[in-house]
Amino acid sequence: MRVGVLFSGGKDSCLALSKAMKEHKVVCLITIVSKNSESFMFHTPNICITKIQAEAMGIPLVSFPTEGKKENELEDLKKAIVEAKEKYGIEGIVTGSVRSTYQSSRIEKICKELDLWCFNPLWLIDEIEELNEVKDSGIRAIVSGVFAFPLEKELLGKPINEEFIKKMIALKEKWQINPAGEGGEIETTVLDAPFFKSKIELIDTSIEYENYSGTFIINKARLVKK
Amino acid sequence: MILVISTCSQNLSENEFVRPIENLLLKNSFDFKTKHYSEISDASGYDKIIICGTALKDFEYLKDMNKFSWIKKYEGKLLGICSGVQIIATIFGMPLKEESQIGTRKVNTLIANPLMEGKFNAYFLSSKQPILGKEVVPLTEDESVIKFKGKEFYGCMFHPEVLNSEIIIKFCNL
Repeated sequence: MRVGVLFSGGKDSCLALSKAMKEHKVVCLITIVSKNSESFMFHTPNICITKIQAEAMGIPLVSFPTEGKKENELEDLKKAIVEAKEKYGIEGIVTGSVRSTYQSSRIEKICKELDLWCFNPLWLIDEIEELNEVKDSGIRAIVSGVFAFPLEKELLGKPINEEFIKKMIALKEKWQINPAGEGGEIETTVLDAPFFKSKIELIDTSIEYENYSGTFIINKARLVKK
Repeated sequence: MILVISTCSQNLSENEFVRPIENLLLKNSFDFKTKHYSEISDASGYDKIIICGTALKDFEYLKDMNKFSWIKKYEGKLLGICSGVQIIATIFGMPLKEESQIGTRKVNTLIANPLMEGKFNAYFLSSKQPILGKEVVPLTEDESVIKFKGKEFYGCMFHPEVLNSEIIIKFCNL
């Protein structure tokens, strides 16, 4: 089956992509670039890096802008999926949804309207299991956003590795933080994965952080040989 | 021993509709085996069976109803989820109607039963509903949960693994 993957550039969509690649032909990535930092559906720090990530994978990217107004952004998502269907002949959509019924039910409705399959291969996955799967599958992701107490500035830019997973397990036990950031507490950006033909090197980055909310901003990046 | 049955025609869908139920059973130390419906001809060795749901666009199981003839003779406890309900209903002669239900809404228990009580939120993902016959009793006001008369067969049109995992645990403890 020819599928398009809803792609934010973070660990969830990359892990979903890697699972989709084992079963189907991934013919395009679909990214919604929201101007609304409060968007329930699409806000992700460094969303612009999806262009470089798609280039690194050699998979075409359908990038669609949205103002991020609540119901309009769903219309914009539908337009992006229609474009992917017309341009790349997709028969299904793959998402990195883990637990959000708000997000997944809206995507399911769009897929039904467009007569497309919808796959959510990470649905209800245990958060620690997911982090370990990201690490073990060779996806190299860094923390690109923290948005909850008691997440510290020092986490920004840190890789998703054994040390990070241990720290998140401890934070879960003490503060009930979702260790995979499914509630929007943490956002990640993927710099390399086994299915990347080249990897991303960060050239210029900066950090904005205040009151347990911060972003690791990628100002400049390039692709380098692996 | 519990048998978990996959109705998915696509392997990728099993991550979404079968694995969460397996993980729930593992976490709660239940003994179970998972099989695809195409592998089953006789299920009499299992005291409980869960028939899992599948993707909204997946209807391959409806083309294979002959693979579910064992249901009529089965004497154990059976829980059908979404496509699982469609399968059990079809086996008992109930037709299906086109009716989409996607998203979360309130469900209200109608009759006291061992699986659920009161009012609760449930997550729906289905596009065909059975037209209920005399063989079943609705357990909820909206008829989304049914029990087959004279049998320990239950049908749940929403996906309890998403917001109501206690329903699955209670079924496994029956």
